Amino acid sequence: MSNSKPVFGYHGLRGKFWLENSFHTSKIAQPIRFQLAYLGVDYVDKQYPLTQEGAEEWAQEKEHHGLDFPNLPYWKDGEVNMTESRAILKFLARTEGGGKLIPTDARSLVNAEMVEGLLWDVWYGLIWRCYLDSEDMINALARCPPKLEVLNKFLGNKKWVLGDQISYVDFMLYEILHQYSLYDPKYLSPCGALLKLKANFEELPAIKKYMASPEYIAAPCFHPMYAKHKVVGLTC
Amino acid sequence: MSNSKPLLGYHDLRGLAYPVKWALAYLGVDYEEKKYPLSQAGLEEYGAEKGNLGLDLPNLPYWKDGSINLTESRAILKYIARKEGNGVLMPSDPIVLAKAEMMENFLWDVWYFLVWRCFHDTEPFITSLKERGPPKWDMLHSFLGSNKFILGDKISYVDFMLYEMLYQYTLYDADYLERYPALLKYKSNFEEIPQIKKFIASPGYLKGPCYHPLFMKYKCQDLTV
Repeated sequence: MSNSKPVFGYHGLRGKFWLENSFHTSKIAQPIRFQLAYLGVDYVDKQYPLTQEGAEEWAQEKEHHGLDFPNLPYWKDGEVNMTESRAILKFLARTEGGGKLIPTDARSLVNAEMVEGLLWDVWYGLIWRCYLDSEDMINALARCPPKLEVLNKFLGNKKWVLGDQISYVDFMLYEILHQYSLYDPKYLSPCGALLKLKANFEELPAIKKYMASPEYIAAPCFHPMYAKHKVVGLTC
Repeated sequence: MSNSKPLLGYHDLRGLAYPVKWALAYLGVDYEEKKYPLSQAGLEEYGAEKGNLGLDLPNLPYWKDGSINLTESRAILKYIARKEGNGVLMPSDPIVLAKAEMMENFLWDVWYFLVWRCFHDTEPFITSLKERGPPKWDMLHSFLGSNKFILGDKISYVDFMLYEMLYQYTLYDADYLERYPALLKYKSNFEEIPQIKKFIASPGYLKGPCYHPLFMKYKCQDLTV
């Protein structure tokens, strides 16, 4: 009997896996899971355990999923077999829920993609600091607060990044804010607008329901076997 | 008198903005450039201006076309791909677009192996490039196969990223692509596209550097110096 539900495959964590001494990043998953919850998509959440066995399970399977570039996360729904978390997030935003999570007008779309680019840089600052835990990376993280403050100013009084309508980029932003808050509860103190967006996101009925469900992964965000800097909820 | 041509502002190097320039050359877009010199004075010039450029998220490169002021090189590339040339560089089918965005993100990671190796010139970045790069290149080579362009017969915005990455990797190591004949063929075919060939022959074309000499610890001719 074939399984007709789409499958989302990833490690059993929220996002960002880093192999020791490597640059392999298995991208983000939690924004995708939040987006699927928001859109009410029924899918199989295939989670690879955060153990050597989990790594071996994936290693054995990876060439057999029909993926052009085998990696985690992957999304398979009968029409596509794809990887790359940002591409998956945007594909789902276009094809589910009437496409309401991705703008179609040029200006809004380019604003979303511009914020997407900034968010990726800001995210990497935290990822490297936690995985590599070196002086260089701790110093590099210092470049992130000004970027967050610029984003805070851009958000201003808007409810979501693009205004009144929530979009895929809010799902990325929320997860980054969540992870930075785990790293340091005071990190976002100068960014009132971002903190307000974070709270508003958690109050969305579909998100609130998902966060109360057994499927929700509260922690960790980064892989405990490889993240050198230990922070409860973030890396262990 | 107002300036009606769009403006691309960037450091005076290839960097991550050259895919934008390739796309503009391919599409025949006439634009102006503000090139910030690769010196402390150049950095200070940008620093003094950045708050007054009308940019929501000030950064380099920026693109100002009279209707919008943008930053983030990939956002600029995709905006231009949608807006110019009747959108010929941007797939419209959602499945093809998903593949394009998958490629875009895959390429970005592989590109950054090189960028960070040059920026840091230390571990784990040196080993990352050496060990994590080749399996990714193998996948890319296999995916390209005998396709003329990365998505098949039709050129797209992703090809401008891929070409630039191939160019920069071969500056790092002239033999880097020797194991990948399909990628070598792809690279030389790209250089034969008439608009591309014309741009390469033009005085505006920059052979290097690719990355900012003041920030890159690894020294490599035309790549970082």
